[in-house]
Amino acid sequence: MNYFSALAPVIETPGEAGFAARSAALAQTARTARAAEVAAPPSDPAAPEVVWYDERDLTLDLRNERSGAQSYVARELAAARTHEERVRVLSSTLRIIGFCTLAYVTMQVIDDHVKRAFFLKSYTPAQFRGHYFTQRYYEIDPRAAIGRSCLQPVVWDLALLQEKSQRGARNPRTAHFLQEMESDGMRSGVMFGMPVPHTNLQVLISFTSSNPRREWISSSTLGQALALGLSIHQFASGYTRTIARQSCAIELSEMQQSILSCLAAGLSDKEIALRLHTTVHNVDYHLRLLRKRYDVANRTQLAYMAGRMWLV
Amino acid sequence: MAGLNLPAPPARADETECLVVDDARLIVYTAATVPAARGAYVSEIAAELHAAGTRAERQLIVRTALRAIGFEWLCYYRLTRIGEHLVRAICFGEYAPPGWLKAWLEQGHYAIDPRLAFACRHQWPLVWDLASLSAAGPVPGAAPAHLARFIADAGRCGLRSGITFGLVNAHGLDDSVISFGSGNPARAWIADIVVGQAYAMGLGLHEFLSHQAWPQAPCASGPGRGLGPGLSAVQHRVLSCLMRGLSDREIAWQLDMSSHNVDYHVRQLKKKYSVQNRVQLAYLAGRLMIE
Repeated sequence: MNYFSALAPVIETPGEAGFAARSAALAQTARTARAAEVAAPPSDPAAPEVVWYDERDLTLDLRNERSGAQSYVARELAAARTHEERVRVLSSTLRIIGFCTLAYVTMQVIDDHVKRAFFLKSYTPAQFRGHYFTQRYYEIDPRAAIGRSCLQPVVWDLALLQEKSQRGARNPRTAHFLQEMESDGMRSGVMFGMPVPHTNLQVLISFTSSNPRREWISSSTLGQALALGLSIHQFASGYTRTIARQSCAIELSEMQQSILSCLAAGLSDKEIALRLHTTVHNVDYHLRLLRKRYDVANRTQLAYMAGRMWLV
Repeated sequence: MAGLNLPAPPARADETECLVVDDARLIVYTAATVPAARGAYVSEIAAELHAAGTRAERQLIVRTALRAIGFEWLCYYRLTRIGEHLVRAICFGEYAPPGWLKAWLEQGHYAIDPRLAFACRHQWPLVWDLASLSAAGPVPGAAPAHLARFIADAGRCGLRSGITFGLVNAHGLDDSVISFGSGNPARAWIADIVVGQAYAMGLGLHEFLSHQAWPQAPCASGPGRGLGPGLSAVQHRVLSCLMRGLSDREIAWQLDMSSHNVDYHVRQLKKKYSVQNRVQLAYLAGRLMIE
């Protein structure tokens, strides 16, 4: 049982085989001219597939005041005209706060295992890219153990991680992991994460610095880092939604989604029709389609499926 | 260890059950009552609250932390939602401004609060003031007049600007929402650093509060896979027949018991999960991954 499995809801994902192809198509939809850069299948069959993307795949919808930019950084990012400009805004903000690298990763967790990691590559040095996943370091990462399941931000330095790792069973992989961190100049930092509700996705955000002592990270530095992380999270939400849609093989229409949501809340056909401003006949028609789609006989079973598959 | 008692569930399926709790009704597990077992808090404020012996000490810790960031008020909500429907709302109102929770309950503000709606929908903080909430308009299905009343009440109570964000519990049905409030009328004072600090404090408080004895929610005992938490063997058998779509009579036949007996168990299950009918029960069973 690793750290992430404790955090993320696990759902069945039918149609697994076609995923690589679909995730390739994913970036196409965001930016038609460019093909997605999918890492070659790792030799370790248990290692997750790593999918790289960059700033060009991110867009923020500011038309809606409700979900509009909530922070200064998000507004700056939204105002940037090109993706190069966005990279400059983020990099300079990162430097002003005092960090060298930023990792923003969306992990897809299926049956307690990280199956795929979608990695925003713009702010992570090339030499460290991907090892975290290809070597499955997330399984032994002491930072992850510290923050187990409560998603609390962890402020760390290598000395602290060393101490934490020695408390448990010694693992040569941990030593190797910490050595790599040291040689890559990742000596202290902040890490936090959150599940994406109603999906099997889990976001991990990590800031690192070459400063060997974590004391430099004051509560205001932590505050700035969290705010920056949340702004990027908001910016990446469109991309995350696309990943979520791709990983859910069955898509429902808006009407079917609403009907299912009312049904799960225990409303009768008549009540559903009233609430959705439609006819009982139409509700009945859609429920018949839904029952057929999920191969169930009645509304109780349909409600169970909706809960089990996190459809509503 | 027993959960607090809830008022009777609402009679109609689409009504919301509401409750306000404070420190005295909630804080059960502190260092004094549970010395070692729950000491491993990650965040500093959670550890401090855990170590504090009295309500007054906890108030001092939270108020000091609030003031250090620049806020006066804090509300912590626990929302149980099925789809878009708010089934249950509980507010931890220890640090709410005077008068606000009365209005929140009596005026039904929980149903149209645009901040809660935002927090349940997006995973980043909303930075708001009354002008921005007003400009964004009512949430779908809410009357503009109700939003106007909500804004008037918030202003009167001294909630004029703030930050609100949701924290998802990966397992279970509850969402937690934390809202920081200030009497400052314009949200411009809330810089990014304030957002980050409020987020960190909110996570810490969430860590502490999620270890307390909340009024029994359907999945209060944590993630249950296979066998549901706290279900007896016979309840589990009945539930697993029910979610496969069997009628009471079919369940009775399958489990070799009387229909009367099945009816009794189904009623017990509905009561346990605070739901009105078997469709809701089946949905919950799915969400709780009961097999």
